[in-house]
Amino acid sequence: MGIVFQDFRLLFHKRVFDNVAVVLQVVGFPRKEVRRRVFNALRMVNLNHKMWEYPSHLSYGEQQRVAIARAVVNNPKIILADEPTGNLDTELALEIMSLFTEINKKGATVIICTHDRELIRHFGQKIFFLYKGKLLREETV
Amino acid sequence: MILQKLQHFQRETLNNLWQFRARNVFSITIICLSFLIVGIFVSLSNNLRYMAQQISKDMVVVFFLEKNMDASDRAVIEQELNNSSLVSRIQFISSEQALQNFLNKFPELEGIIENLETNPFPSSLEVTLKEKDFSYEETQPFLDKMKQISGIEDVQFNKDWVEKMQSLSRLARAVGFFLGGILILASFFIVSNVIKLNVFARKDEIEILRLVGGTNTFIRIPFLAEGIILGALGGMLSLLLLFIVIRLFPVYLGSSLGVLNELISFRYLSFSQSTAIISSGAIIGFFGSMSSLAKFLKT
Repeated sequence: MGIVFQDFRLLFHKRVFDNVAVVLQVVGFPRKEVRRRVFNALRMVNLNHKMWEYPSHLSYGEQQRVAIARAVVNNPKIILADEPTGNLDTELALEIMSLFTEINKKGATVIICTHDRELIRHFGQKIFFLYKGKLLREETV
Repeated sequence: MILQKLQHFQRETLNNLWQFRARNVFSITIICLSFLIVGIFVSLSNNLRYMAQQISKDMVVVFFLEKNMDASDRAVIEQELNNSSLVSRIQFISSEQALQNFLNKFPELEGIIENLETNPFPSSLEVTLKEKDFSYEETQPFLDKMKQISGIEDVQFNKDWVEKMQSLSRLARAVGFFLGGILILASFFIVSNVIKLNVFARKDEIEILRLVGGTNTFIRIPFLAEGIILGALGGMLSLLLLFIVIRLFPVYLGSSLGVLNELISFRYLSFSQSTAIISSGAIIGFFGSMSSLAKFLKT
């Protein structure tokens, strides 16, 4: 399972490449395989040209895309995104949601937790409304 | 897979040391200064002990023998002295030799000696004691026993010196245990807290690594390695600074202190003491990292 956070949770003293690679290093992937997968993940979020930058040199939208690349680099079946657009303006939020749609089309289930009803109605397939931890109702778009 | 992880840990440790170099230099400096104080103290204590050894090395007991003692009786006494574990060297001084020694030392008194009809100096055995076994509690019973042997007229032994040397050694040891203990304890807290601050400053990183699936061991190892390296580097740097202090201090003091100059001069640490300082740094670094990581890696 891959996780995306509202506040990105990136390692600011490490380059974009290392931020994404850490997930694979945790499990002890060989270096070649790490390089290949990280490059693919960054290409998917369209950030392979900023692989050697530090996160502080990137925009908020780009930082969130790095976080998404980190979440997908291990090819998880499920991606859990906690308010992934909470810190972004509308334009960037749409960009990130499109990215999630793309990931979903490739076969991963994407669970997004958000307060933005408009955005989720536009992109979501199945919506669960929660109130104080209890399921109120569900909708299929 | 283990090899991959080891390579990762090695890379990670070196990267982090370089990445947080300003903070690490600060940590190393604090560790170095703490150990430098301990090192200076150990060095002074070494000097005191060295001086005590030098003085006790020359400690000689003189057994004055009866006049006209024949060689076989003297051999019995020498045999008795040789049997003692305290004796390092025995030298026989005949009465003629003793007279000659006196004249060599005090040539102006030659006239007085010439007026005497007989040689007033008795023959003697000069016994050098072993410096390792040198202790008043041990030497006194030995001397008492030797006094009982027939043929020995008198024993000359500078008891005052023995007692002074004894109290000096006791002082050096007591000061060593007391001040050394306090200093080592203080530097332990300083060093482990510096390492802790270093880990605290990176608590976000620990949290993120946990969130992306890092096991406790995976997160812990680079931090522990960094702690060990910082501690050991601090210890090494303190030895280097101590070397400089030892070289420069006598130059700074010059000869103005005279005899005191020798008393407070520094003596460099022995190999085992130097190793102890470096390994203490590494051990404190390890435990400092370990205890601060425990706060963030509770399962």
